[in-house]
Amino acid sequence: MTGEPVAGHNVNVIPFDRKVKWAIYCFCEDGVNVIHSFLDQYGASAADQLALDAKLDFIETQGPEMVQSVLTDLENGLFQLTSKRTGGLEIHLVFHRETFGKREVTFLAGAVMKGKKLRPGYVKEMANERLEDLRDDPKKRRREWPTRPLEA
Amino acid sequence: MIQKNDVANGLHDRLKHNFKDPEARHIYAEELTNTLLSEQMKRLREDRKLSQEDLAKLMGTKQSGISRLQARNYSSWKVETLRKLARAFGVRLRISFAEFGTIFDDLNDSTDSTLSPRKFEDDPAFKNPPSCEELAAPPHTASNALGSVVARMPNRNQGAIQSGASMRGALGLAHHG
Repeated sequence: MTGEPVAGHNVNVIPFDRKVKWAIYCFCEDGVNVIHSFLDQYGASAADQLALDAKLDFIETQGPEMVQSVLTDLENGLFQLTSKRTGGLEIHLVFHRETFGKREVTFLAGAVMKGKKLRPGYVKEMANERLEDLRDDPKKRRREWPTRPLEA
Repeated sequence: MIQKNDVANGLHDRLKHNFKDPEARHIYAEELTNTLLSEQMKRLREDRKLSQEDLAKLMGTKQSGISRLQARNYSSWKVETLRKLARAFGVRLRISFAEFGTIFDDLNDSTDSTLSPRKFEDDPAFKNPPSCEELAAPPHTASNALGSVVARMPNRNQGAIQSGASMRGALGLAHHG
């Protein structure tokens, strides 16, 4: 969008969108965001979560294909996003692509790499179970960001 | 540039909130740069159809070095290595300092074309530059000169899809890209 400044407002600052963005959902168990719980349980630091945010923001603005270098295809629409910051946790989040509609992903489960082993080791199975639950009850997810805002 | 959706979907508010902490904004920006570099390297190597061994030879290094560079979340980039990569891929390396607000450009404007730029030989600015006559055309026909240059550009999306890796197929890029 282009235009002349109107009444002191620069209308060029916020243009119309050039493309539709992606919707990010998180699976919820008993109303609780499972990705928030996972990050809390494994003690993901603010820096770990910011590193994750940088990748999640690409997914939201451009779609999962923008972060191919940190994705693993787990088949059947499931993908594992890996984020690792030097000195931080190696975080793996499993999401399902386009469960109910186009341009949406749902984060289902998480794991961390400790001692060269994924913990929990059954993260893929957990994601598959939750995906089945979600298909049975689409209300088991919320449009919520996987990480929490930093504390002020 | 901030887009309407960046405000509507909370991205702008979240970054504004998190970036109050200087350390947080630098961590985020560094991770964004690492992600972009990794994506570029992966795509450039695949689009040029170079194996790790091929790329290593072009850079005068070992395959294990390339493997390390392509490890997930690699973050120890050296300018000299980036220079060698640029030469191997036939593109220029551009390094600059920027305002934090340009993060929105990185997020919104990264495309297949920007992530995998053409090598010099295919660069329309040098391959088929506009003629002096086209550039000297009166202002009202300037758009025609530009149009003729654009018309000569190869179809980037088509090429990207055709040469895309299996991951892109799995991600359904052909349907959604």
